[in-house]
Amino acid sequence: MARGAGAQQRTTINLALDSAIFGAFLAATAPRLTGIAIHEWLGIAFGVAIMTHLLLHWQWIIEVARRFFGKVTWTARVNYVLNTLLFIAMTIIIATGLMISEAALPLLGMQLPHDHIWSQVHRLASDAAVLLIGFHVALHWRWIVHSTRRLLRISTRRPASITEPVTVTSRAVREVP
Amino acid sequence: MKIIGRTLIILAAALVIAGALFAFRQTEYARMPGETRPGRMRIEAGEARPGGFAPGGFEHRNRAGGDEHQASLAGLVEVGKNLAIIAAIVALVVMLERVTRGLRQRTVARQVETEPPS
Repeated sequence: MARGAGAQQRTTINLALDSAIFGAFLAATAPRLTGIAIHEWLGIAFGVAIMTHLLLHWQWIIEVARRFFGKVTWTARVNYVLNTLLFIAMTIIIATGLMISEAALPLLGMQLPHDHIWSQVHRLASDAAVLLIGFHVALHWRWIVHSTRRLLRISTRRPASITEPVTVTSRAVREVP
Repeated sequence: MKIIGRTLIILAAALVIAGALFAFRQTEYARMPGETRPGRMRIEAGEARPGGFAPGGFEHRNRAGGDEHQASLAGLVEVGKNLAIIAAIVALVVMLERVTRGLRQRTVARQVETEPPS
């Protein structure tokens, strides 16, 4: 019972954090919507969110890395490569974003000379990140739908308190890299 | 303690990527003027930009009509564009996944039917 509730809680945390990251990503890719200052601070906060995301899925990262050339499914392998590319793209976006910062770094008293190449790499990496995020979401689509449905069903069935054991398939938890 | 160690590993990995990026900046290729660089880089430099594919995100600095220092609801178009790209990829991959799963199930069912009982 406690184990089921723990898994349920973990799924909720993962889903909430992933949704927040996705929303932040969409907002960050539209500096015209947020304005440059929010765009930059959002980008910096995004780095922290990604780190939390990676820490939450640390076990999966280690397991697949260990068995990458051994006994592991093709889906996990593709997922791993995709996630690595996404990490590289996000790091490039944040690093180049800091190099061309107009609001965040000057506020901290740092002024870097403008270099056009950083802007170009920043845009290229962001274009690539949109595509990679698309594939990332696509590969986890079943988990997203499954978890959302399960959470909504549970919350509508038990509005006041949870008295019955909550069961979540271990597969759903495992599918969350 | 574990979390601190893992955080440091992630930061180290990010630092390696950033280091590679700065090393790239020092190369001859990155120092080339815009005209001699291949097409995509020139497009990104704002000399030419095809409509359609590329998301509007991160387009700032020296773009015609794009004052991004102030927030504006017009930026919702960029969000919509990126969301549409992501939705298209998700739809495509999910559809392909379903088709391949269906085909696989069908071939397995056929094999079971044609196999003589032992």
